[in-house]
Parts: sequence; C-alpha cells; structure tokens
Amino acid sequence: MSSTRTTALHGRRRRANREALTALLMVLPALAILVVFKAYPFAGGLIDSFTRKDVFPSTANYERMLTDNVWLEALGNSVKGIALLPIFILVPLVIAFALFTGIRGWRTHRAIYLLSYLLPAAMAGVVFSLFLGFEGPINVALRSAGLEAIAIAWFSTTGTAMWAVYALVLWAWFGLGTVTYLAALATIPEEQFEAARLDGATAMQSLRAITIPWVRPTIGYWAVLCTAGLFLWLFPFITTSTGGGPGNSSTTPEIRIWEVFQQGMNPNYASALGITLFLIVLVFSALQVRWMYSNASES
Amino acid sequence: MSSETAFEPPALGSVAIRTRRRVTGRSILAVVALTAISVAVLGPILYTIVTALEPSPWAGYGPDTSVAFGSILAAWTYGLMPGSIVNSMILSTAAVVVLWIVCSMAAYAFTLMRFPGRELLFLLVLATVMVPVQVIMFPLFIEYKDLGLLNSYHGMILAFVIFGIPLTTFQFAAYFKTLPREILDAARVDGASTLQTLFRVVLPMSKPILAVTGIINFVWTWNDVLLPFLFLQDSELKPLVAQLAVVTGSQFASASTHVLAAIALLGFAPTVIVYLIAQRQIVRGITAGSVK
Repeated sequence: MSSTRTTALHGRRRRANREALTALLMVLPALAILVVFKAYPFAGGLIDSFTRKDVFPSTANYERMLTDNVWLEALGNSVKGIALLPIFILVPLVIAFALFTGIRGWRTHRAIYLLSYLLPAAMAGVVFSLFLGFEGPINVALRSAGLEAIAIAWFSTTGTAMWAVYALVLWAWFGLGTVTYLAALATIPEEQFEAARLDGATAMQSLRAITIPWVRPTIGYWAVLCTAGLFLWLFPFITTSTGGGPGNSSTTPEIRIWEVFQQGMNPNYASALGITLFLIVLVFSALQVRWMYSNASES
Repeated sequence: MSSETAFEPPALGSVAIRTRRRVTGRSILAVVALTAISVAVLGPILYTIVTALEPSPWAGYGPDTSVAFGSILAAWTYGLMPGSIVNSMILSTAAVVVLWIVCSMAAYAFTLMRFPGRELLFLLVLATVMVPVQVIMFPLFIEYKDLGLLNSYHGMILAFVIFGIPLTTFQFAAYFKTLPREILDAARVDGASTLQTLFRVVLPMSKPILAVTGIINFVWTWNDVLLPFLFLQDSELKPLVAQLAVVTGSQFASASTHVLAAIALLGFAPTVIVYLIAQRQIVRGITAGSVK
C-alpha cells in the first residue's frame, strides 16, 4: 500500500519535473533573446556610462552632461512636451465623450481620426511640414486673411519648430487616444446610466458620477503611453520635419542620442545619455502609475 | 473578453437618447466640431495627394519631374521601388511570424504550465519593455557588428523581435488565461505533447489574439525607421518608409515640394489602402489591451 503510494508520488514528481523542463524550453527562445540582446547590452551600457578613459568607476560622463548645452536644450524641449501633456490627455477624452453620445456619423469620424495615427510617423512629418510650410495652404490662408506677420515657416523658425512638432504629434496621436477612451466607455454597464436616470440625474451628473470614474484607469494608461511616447517615439516625426533644427531648437533627448551615436565619437557618453533617458521615463511613468492608484483609492 | 465587447458600438444608451431629446443645439455644435476635426485630419493628407499629382519644374538632374506624374515617378525612383516595398513585406511578415511563435510558446508556458520561477521570469520578460532601443543603442550596435548581424534581413528581423517580445508575450498571456482549461486537459489526455497542444489546439482557438498581435506588429515594423536606420546601411535592403525618410533629406527631393509630397504619398499609400480594407480589424487590434 505504502509502496504504491510512493511510486505514485514519484510518478507525479517525475511528471512535474518533465512539465517544468518542457516549460523552460518553451520560454527559452524569448528569454535567451532578451538576455543576449537587451539585458547584456543594458549591463554593458551601464558599465560604459561609468567608464571614462578606461577608468571605472567614473562619473565623468554624467558630469559632462551638465555642461552639454545641446543635451540641456533637448531636455528643455522634452519639458515643453510634458507641459502639453494635459492637452494630449484631454483632447481625445473630450472627443471620445462627444462621439459616445452616438452622434450621427460617429463611426466615420472615428475611422478618420485613426487614419493620422496609422500613417507612418516619418511620412506624417513630411505631410505636416508641407502643410505648415512657408508656402503651404495654412500660410496662404493666413496671408489672404491679412495675417502676413504670422504666416511664417513654422518648422524652420527657432521659436516655433518644437511647438510645430508637438502639433504634428498631437495630430498623429489624438485618434489613438480617442479610440482607446471609446473602448473603455463602451464597457460601462448600461444599467448604471439607467439607474442614474431613474434617480433623476442630469447628463452632467451622470458624466461626473459614472463616466469619469469609469475611464480614470484608461486616462492613467493613456497618460503613461503619452509620456513614454513624448520621450521615446518622436524620432521619426522630427527626422523628416525639422531634423532637430533650426539649431537645436527641436532636438529632443532621443535625437541628441542619435546624433552622438552617428558622430561615433563617444560610446560611453552616448550610453550615459541613454541611461539618463531611461531613468527619466521610469520616474515619470512611476509617478503617473502612483497618481492613478491614489486617485482610484480615493474615489 | 473585454476587448470584444469594447468594439460593439457604444450602445445608444440613455445618455445618447437624452442628449438627442433634450439639447439639439448642443448636439449640432458637437457635429460641427467633430466634422471640423475630421477635416483637420484629412486636409493635410488630401493636400499632400493633390500636390504629389502635380508635376514640378525639372531641376536638370535626376528623373524628369516636369512630365505628368513626374513627381511620383521621381519619388518612385528615389524610394528604390519596387524593391523597398518587397523589403518591407519580407521584414514585417517575418517579424510577425517569428513573434507569433516565440511569444505564444513563452506565454503558453507562463500561463498554463507549472515550473519554478515562473512568475519572476514572466515579470522580467515584461520589465524589458522599459529598455527601448535609445537606451542601449551603442552597445547593441557593437554587439550586432561583432556577430555580423548588421546589414542583413535576419539581423533586421531579429531586431524587431527583440523589441516586440515583451508586449506580444503579454498579449498572448492575457488571452491564454481566458481559455477553458478543460480543452487543454482533454488534449493532454489524448496523448498530445505540449507543443502539439499549443500548435494544434490552442493557437487555432486563438485567432483573435493572433490577429491583434499580427496587426500591431505589422503596423509597427512597417512604419518604424529608427531600427532600420540603425541596422541597415545598405539602401537596397531598407524597407520602404525608412528609404523614403532618408531621401527626404537629400537635395534631390527637398528641392521640390511636389516631390516631397509624392514621397509622403508613396510612403503612406500602402497603409491607407490596407486600412480602408481592414478598418474594423485594425481598430480592434490597435486598442486591444487598453481595457482591463
């Protein structure tokens, strides 16, 4: 009796071992790729960033960053983007609310809004730089309205280039935000609105009591996505519209990293820039996730 | 699945009915505003198409742009068509398929099998999403160089796979968790091996998530320029969008708005055409995962 139980246990354990082995073999390709091509270069880059002229550890690369005016200007340009974050969050939200009322033709509008997101970002850069170009239709319209003074070359004027890029990015992304919010709105149980209506709530009260709390996690999700995007996904937009100029007026950290990489002069410095960018995005995303949770627990 | 219900039309529920019944003034305003936004999206695109169709004065070198469709012909030449679009198709298709295989296997083990360290390893795989290419650009480039992966299809495909694994694995795992366990047990009782269960039973049941991950990865790899810039120096190997993005900086193209417009048109036409055909699936694929 006891011996059969032991055999059964052994058998089960053997089966468990075999399952564990099979499972590990199945995750191996993904894990191996990530270890060899992400973890390893990340560790290498981290060490490189603290190495200066074969001296390790050294903080020289990070100190140099503080006096690198191009890098500082690039960080400043990212701050401008972060300052615009409320617009990036609210514009799609308001549009989604408007579409959600089931207004006539909402499906067509939704389809059109997503079009600008699906255009390859590098091509959207070309499209927008033509549209806002010195001889582009916007400026033609401004001139015919007697506003010659502001009919400037938006993408090649120092003061406006970065803002023009952000306008382009908003144009490209708001549709994704809109369909993201719409997807969340569509999951609100119908009964909640029904109950609110029976209680005599106005549309505005329903919006505040039901709709906004329901989409709050989606607002957080979208905010994190936009933050990461503003730091990490502007390269294709910029490379075909302003190229980071004029001067460095529309250079963002990722553009600066690409420039340092292309000049091929200082891998260690480039790694320090990369690690810094990594930390910045990490901190911002963590703050937003925390904000999301604290808001969720309050309500 | 929540993402399924998410794409039902927002039911014309009480909110909508009330709005329509009560305030027509406000809804007219909304229609006007939403239409204006649609015009703002379509305007630049239509302007680009119209500009691209116009010939432009010939600069005296390169393809003759002054003939009918001359600007488009020039963009076609600079874009190294049709080779570059073949590159795009090969690279994007291969990346999608490899990501399907690698990530579905990993996600299957992470969600439906038991092994020591399962949760920790899963977390580590997801955490690598925090390391974008900008952060490891130099060391990864050196590694690629040392391994002879630069300037090759397989190196480029591998690059897409490296940066696609975290999200795709996450998406497969989220879907696999919703599968009924009984079917998997039944397959096992029938003596199917784990891989057989995955490829013969589970994946055929997973068409929605194959579509979602396929669309997301195809659109991303098709549109990306930074990775191709980094790992493909040879123009003959570059995918369409990356090649066109390079050309916009050349003196040939930037001299003429018409040629620039034609370059943009050539670059976005395939995406727009596919979107017109498969709009519903693409909308679903793009937003999957945003709703928990």
